[in-house]
Amino acid sequence: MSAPSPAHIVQIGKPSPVDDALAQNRQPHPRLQIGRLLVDAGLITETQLAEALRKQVEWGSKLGDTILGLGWVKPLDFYQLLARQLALDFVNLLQHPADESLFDKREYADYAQHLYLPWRRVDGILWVATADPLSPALARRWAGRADVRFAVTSKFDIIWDLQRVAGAQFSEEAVLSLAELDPEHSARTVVTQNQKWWLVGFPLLLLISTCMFPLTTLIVLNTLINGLLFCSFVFRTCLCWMSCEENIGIAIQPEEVAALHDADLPLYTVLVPMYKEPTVLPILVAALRRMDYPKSKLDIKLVLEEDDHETIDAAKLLGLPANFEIVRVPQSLPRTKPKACNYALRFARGEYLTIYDAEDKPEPDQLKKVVVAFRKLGDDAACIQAHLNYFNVEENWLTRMFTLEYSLWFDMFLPALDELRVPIPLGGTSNHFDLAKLRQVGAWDPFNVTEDADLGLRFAAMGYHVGVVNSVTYEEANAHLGNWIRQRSRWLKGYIQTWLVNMRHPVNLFRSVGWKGFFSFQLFVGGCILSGLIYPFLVFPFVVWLLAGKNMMQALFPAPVLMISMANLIIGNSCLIYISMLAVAKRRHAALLPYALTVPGYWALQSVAAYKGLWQLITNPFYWEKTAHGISKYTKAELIHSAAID
Amino acid sequence: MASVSTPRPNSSIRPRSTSRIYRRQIVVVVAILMLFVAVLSGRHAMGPYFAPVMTAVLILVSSSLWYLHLRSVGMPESWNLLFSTLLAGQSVVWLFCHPVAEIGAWQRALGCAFFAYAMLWVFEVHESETGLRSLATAALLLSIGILAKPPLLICCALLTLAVFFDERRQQGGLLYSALLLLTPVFLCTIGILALRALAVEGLARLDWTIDAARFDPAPLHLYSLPWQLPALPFCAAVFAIRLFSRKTGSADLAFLLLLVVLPTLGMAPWMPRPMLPLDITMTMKWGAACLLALDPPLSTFPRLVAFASGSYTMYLCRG
Repeated sequence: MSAPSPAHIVQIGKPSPVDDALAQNRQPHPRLQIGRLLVDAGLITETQLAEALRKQVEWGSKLGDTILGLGWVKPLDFYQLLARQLALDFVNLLQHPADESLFDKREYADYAQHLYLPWRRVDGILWVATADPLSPALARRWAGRADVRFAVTSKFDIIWDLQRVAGAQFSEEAVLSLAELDPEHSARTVVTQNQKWWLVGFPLLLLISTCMFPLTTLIVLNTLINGLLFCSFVFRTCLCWMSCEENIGIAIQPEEVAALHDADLPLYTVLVPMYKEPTVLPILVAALRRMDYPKSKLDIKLVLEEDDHETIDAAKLLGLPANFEIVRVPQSLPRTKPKACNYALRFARGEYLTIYDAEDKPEPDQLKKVVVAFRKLGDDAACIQAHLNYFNVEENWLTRMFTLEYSLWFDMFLPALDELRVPIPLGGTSNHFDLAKLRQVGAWDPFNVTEDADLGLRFAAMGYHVGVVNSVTYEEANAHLGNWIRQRSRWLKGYIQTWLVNMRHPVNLFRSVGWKGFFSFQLFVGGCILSGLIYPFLVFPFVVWLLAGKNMMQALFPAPVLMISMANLIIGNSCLIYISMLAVAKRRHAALLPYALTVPGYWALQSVAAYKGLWQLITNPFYWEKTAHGISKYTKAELIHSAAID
Repeated sequence: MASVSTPRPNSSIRPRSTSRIYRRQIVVVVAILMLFVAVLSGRHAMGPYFAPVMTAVLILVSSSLWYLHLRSVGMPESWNLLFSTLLAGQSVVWLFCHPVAEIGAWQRALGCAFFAYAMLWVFEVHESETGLRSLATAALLLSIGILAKPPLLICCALLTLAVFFDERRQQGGLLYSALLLLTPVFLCTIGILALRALAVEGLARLDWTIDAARFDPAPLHLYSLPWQLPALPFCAAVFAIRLFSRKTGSADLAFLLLLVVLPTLGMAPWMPRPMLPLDITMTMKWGAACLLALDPPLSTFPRLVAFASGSYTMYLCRG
């Protein structure tokens, strides 16, 4: 498609030094609609216009948004024509950036939300650059101002220029806002003073007690730890038993999705935080293009670190439609996904927001299901988590076990927690937020490396409901052990952070989430940490018996200690094996059932990761262990598949 | 850019599971079984002197739970009380008419009866529930069932396979079905064997099926009791009520099969721990109680019939 032909430049207002910066096309076309202009300019065909008009009505969007969402016109061409249609000037902010002295820090959020910027002041006239000149918000903001003129610019220019001016402030806010506004819920302080006393005092007490009453101390300690662990196993088994029901959680039926009118759907922001993942980006782009949601109502943001040139270049090369935007996150510490998301949140314009990883493949109707779910749950719903699973199940033992674990986690545990109305530790992606509520709770904690789990807790503490919807996002399971341990150690480190943050004031937690929420948090999140850390101690007597025989074992472990820990080892592993079987049976991965018998081996790996995570929490608490994606052979197949579809 | 406001419909009610009522009921039954395990453990720990106390507690709690169960399925309060008292009365009469030494045998029989009750319930729930819950419950119950006597465990395992196997086989093949149904019981068995191999004696004192030979046999005169089934009138009445009200289902079929197979299998000389007449009587009585609770009669006459037959059973319980 060719660029529009240059038209006569019509001076509007007094000639000024900035005229050279104003766009060329000032020929007004008051009677022409934008669609006709696009056709006349040869940017779209008559057939495309007819289709776009049909979609415009169906989607309830503006024609321009519809055409841009469909990716039929380059944004620059479109905005130039829009300026021409409205008899406004067009300004290219990349070539003629805004005068930052005109920016008001208090209005940064408004600029990002409503896509305008005070551009320049010339001869007492304030020129406001906007991507949406007909926006009611813009009219409201500048009502009654005779000294204001508007110029059209591309929304990408606005985002780019706003980042240039306000990037540092946004970045600082992304890092510090939660820590400053609500320090009690920020993991910036890893351990509070009170917790330090406990961490020193308790082992000391234990040491003294062991010196004075060795056997009794050992028995009491063992009973206590094993008791907690046993309760955790039983709790998880109960959750699984509840989830054996087919329609647990928020079960949205296809008829309910079909009954939705596209015109009633809200604008949906999709954040895709990435770092050095250029290879897998096409998978997500293809999946998002396949989403059953009006393209004009998708506000997709690829959140990239500003030094990640390879991914930025890869994104540009994909020729993405105008509903994809690239948000460049300035370099600052901690370099974590939540910080990047907080930064991108400043630019989110949707009513709802979701996060996908670069290699994610959400089911096409997921966004619609979530909209139905939010409407069903009412005003107290703040977040809806979709199920996660893997597309490279069959790659090796590790991916099978990972799939088994995710089936257990997302198909069994989380829906049951939802049913019990207790806090849900959210999964890493595919969590869909009510944007206003997300902002209200302070969004993600950039110092917590499992920021989603922490957010789930914070929502619950503020009385919001987090639900689980019956839609799946497929991801790439870690197929390499080293990579798996890195990822898992981060998760477990984050769980420890989350537990420590929430247990700063246990009484407050009890009051805010209720007794059910409190105990489920201890058994689920606490139990997860405990089982990871304690597993070697449960296995140790068994190994001693295997290596050294019964006599040696009896000499080392008093009978009660041995009985409790062995019973727990057996009961715990048996429970885990069977609930893993149920999970894959529910997910209908029949071939994975026998692999559930190897769960104890997988738990041993969890233990390695737990200790690595614990060590890292002590030495480098905010370090984000990056998980490499795109290394699976199935991912390569997915890439080919995505390319074929595109 | 173009955020279209979405009119929200009236906040609709959150969708809830249809089988929540069954979940509560199954929890009640599992609670009974766990209680039985706990009491049995307690009996071993505290010695024979506490056996009567434990028995009284068992009677009281089991009748109360049955009362709650009946109430949860909509039985009117007065009838509910009558039936629960009747059930308790049957046990009390039996215990009064038999020597204290036989309490142990009675407790074991009660355990078997609870197990059969729970299994029949699960079979019934399975008919009205989609998903894996009834299968998971049956599989987990089977693993607790190694506390019951081998013939009953075998019977219930066979019935479970018959009820669930075909459906699951269609979804994933033989190995899939077998793993789903039998893994818990195998893991339990392996666990006990491992504990015994590790010389962990405490847990192994329970009446594990696999450990049957380690226990003293029940008083021999129980074997010489005449072949009579005091529970028969009650069973027949409940079954007839179900038949006439056209409420029969897989639980009834399973119950009938249990009645036929259990005595045959239970009296087989090769069984490591054969069923006693008392075990069979108790199993039948509680099985019938389960059928009655699954879908209680709506009118007075069948309730009267059930009550009268229960009273006659109580009379027969004198031994």
